[in-house]
Amino acid sequence: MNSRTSFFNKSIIRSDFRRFWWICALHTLALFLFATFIFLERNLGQGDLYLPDANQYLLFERSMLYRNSIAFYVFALSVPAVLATFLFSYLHTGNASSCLHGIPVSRTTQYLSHFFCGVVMITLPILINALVLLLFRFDAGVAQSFRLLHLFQLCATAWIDSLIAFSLTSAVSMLTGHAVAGLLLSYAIAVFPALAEAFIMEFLRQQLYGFCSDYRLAFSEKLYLAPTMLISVKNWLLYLGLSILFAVLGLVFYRIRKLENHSEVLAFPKLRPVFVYIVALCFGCAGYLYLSSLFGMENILFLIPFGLLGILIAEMLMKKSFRVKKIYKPMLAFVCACAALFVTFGFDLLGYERRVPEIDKIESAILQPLHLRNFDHHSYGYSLSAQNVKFDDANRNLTTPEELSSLTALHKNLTQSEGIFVPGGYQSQYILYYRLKNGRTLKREYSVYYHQNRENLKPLLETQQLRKSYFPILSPSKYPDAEINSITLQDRRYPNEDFLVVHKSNPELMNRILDALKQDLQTVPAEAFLNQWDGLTNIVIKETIPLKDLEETAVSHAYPQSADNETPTREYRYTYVIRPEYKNTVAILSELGLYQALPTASRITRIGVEYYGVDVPTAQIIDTEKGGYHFHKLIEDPASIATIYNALDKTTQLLNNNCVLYFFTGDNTSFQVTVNDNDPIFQELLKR
Amino acid sequence: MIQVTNVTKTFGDFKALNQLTLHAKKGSVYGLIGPNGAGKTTILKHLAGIYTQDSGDVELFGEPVFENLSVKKRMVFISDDLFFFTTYSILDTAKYYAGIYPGWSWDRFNQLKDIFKIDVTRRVRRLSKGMQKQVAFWIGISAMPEILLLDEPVDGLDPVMRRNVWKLLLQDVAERGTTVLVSSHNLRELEDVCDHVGIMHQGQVVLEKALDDVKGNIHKLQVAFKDGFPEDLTLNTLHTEQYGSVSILIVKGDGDEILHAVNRFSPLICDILPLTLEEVFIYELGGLGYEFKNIIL
Repeated sequence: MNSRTSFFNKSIIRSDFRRFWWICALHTLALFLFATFIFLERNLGQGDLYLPDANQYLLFERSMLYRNSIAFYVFALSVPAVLATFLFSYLHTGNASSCLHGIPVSRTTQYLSHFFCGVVMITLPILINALVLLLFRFDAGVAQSFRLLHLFQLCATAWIDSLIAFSLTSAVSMLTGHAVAGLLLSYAIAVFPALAEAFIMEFLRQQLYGFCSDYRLAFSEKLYLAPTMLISVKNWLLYLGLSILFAVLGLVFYRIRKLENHSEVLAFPKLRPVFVYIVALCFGCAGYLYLSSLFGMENILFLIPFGLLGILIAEMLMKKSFRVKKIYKPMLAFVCACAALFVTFGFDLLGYERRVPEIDKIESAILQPLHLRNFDHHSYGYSLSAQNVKFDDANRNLTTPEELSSLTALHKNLTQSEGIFVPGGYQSQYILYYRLKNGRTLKREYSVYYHQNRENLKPLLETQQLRKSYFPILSPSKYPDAEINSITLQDRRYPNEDFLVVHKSNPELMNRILDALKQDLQTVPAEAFLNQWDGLTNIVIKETIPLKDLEETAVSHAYPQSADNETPTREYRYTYVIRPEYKNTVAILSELGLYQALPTASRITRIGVEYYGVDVPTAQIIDTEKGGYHFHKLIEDPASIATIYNALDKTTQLLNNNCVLYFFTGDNTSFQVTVNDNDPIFQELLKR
Repeated sequence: MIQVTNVTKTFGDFKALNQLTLHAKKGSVYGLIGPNGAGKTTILKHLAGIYTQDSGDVELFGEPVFENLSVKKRMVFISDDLFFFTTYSILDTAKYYAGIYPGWSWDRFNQLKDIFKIDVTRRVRRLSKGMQKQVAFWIGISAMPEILLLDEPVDGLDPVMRRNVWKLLLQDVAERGTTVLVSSHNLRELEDVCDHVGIMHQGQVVLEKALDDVKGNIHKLQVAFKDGFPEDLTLNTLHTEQYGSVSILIVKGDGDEILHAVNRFSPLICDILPLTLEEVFIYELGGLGYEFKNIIL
């Protein structure tokens, strides 16, 4: 009998539970084995290592059920999708569909009854596992490792992810007449935004000179709430809204669906052209990427061959036959669209590539180098990307007419040098970011070849704005509780690299070094930026920022503090190469004895030389397999080794580096340096 | 009771129903007959509220059927292509339908156990096709419907069970005034149970009458003339066979008028022979171009 409201039917609900309870049971077991059990196994008896206020993300790191693990994709996402497919599989066979729609139950009631059953069945495994964790929490050791709130948040996150997967698949099942097609289409729809965004970014990067691609899928990150492991309340509600939307769409599709379209790929004939063109587009895009990599060139017309194949395949799927007719129309339309794209991008009909704003229309601008090679090796911390370039720090903005004039002159020069490839030219990636007076912004990214743009770059590289935009240490931290914990003085020539670590417990020395470095970074001549040099000496600054101050996306890898510090933080490292022009810093390092303590050349037993991108005749390749390396040249003469080693600090900086030297020591360590083999300082020892 | 008016239904490029009109009165047993692909199952599914028509009206009890629960509660559709849940026994299936049909009668269900004699704990999917049909019937009748839509109901049943099923049906019709619409190719059996027939061809009902009237409108005539078949004798002839000087004619029209027309030519022999429903079906559709040809391979 129906409930009073007639939205649910007990017989149907009972029937679903009876027929599909095994999916729920398997899911519960799998979650237990791959999440709960692992978590308990790792945490039982380990309570003293983790603090009650430990970062909630630690909970996830010790559980397989966090959003970046395979277990998440398999269990949280796949099982609900499979369940939805099973629940609505009766729509995909003629006899089942007829039988179950000949009964006096409305489609709304059928749909809601099945949906309700599915929601219960995706909830139960999570609840049962949560209960298990709750029971174990009575153990004092385990109680230390997570709070009830954490458990609740974990369950809420897992549940909402499952719900959205279930809702989406339910809605998609209404669109198709085939269970497998429905499941595949659900996955395709789920990943489509990310793939589409990735392709579009890559396509525009290849086709539009100056297109700024930060290689992060900003839209997809927002959509998938990735890589956030713990969804906030706001995002949870957003996902809930999305789930409800999918559920409602599913109901609407169910009500208008024609049951005779079972076993068709698409149950709605009007969607067929949409399907055909989307398949064509997907195939075309895949073909474009493949052919571009095969031929080493990016041509929009590469969309066509695989796109036409996609149309053929889609039509065969629609008609369920290998023989299809009258497909020349969609093929022709596709070819025309590709041709239009080709013309638009090829001739820059939209004016994107040529656009340089006029100075009087610019409010402010940023020139942000993404890589200043041989100036630093940003690692494991703040990484520069186009996304990070923002107008939030006024000190970094170029505003004066002279600065803007230099910038636009550089920009014009770059637009005019499109496609001019300079082999071996020293270059770096720059972001040009304008804020216009009409409130709009314009962002471009270029590979700037220094020898082509030297005169335009110099005045810009002299500005403090550019230096602040690239060297974070020159600007105050935007996080009020950020703290520099230590400074490490390194040189690759040392065993294990580290020469001296200065902790915050020695603030005087630490501040001296930092002040000297800052001063040097501010005053180093612009020429230094234009010269290539692979420095051996580095200063590594380790800064910690409390997690509470960081954006969610920044805390995907949290490091617990030691037991005596209750504040969970994230550590950032900034590595600065110490150049000879850094007089103040070099002076302090000398004072501390770094240069005096450098190992001598006698420590080096052999040098392997590897030349960049050069086809050396086979006869000259020496296959030494020293430590698993292959070199073009091997130097073992002590005198030659000494000459090369002692010249490292004095190599000419104007030449482009074109080979790598691997230095091997007697104690089985090694380090490498890039140099130019034509530098006379090596006395032709490196000549190929 | 059952009213279908100018219904058209197209599947892609194929027109399955073409302005089909059909009417069945309360308490009648309406036989829907037609060649393969005529649209019988299609119209039944419209009546069951499974399909929606492109145009026209499909009504039961004077109301549209589609998504009309008040109508569907009083109607059961037993398809030719049956479906049962994989793990369900007969009893489980009965419980499932008991929860859906408000008129369900467990008394009836238990009574019918003696007729169908199948263990209710057995899984339906594991039964033979014929037994599954029996189960479908068993459950359908137990729902105590006012309208029964049956698509090839006795296909696959043994003769004894066929007789039992028809008996049950007719009993229901007699006792409860159930209206039955049955499609079948077994015209010999339909002849015994139906009081109305509708002959379908290419998506239309080409003939719909009380059974007696159908037979009353087609006649098998055996005639012979002294000087051969007179050319002036014009009859609405559906089929002619010649055996020497004797002609066997299948003629449409009023019996008396036909006799009168033939007797004008002083035949040597003139007899009207009884026609079976099967012969009516064959010759009626033969007139529409769907005819059996004597083929020798």
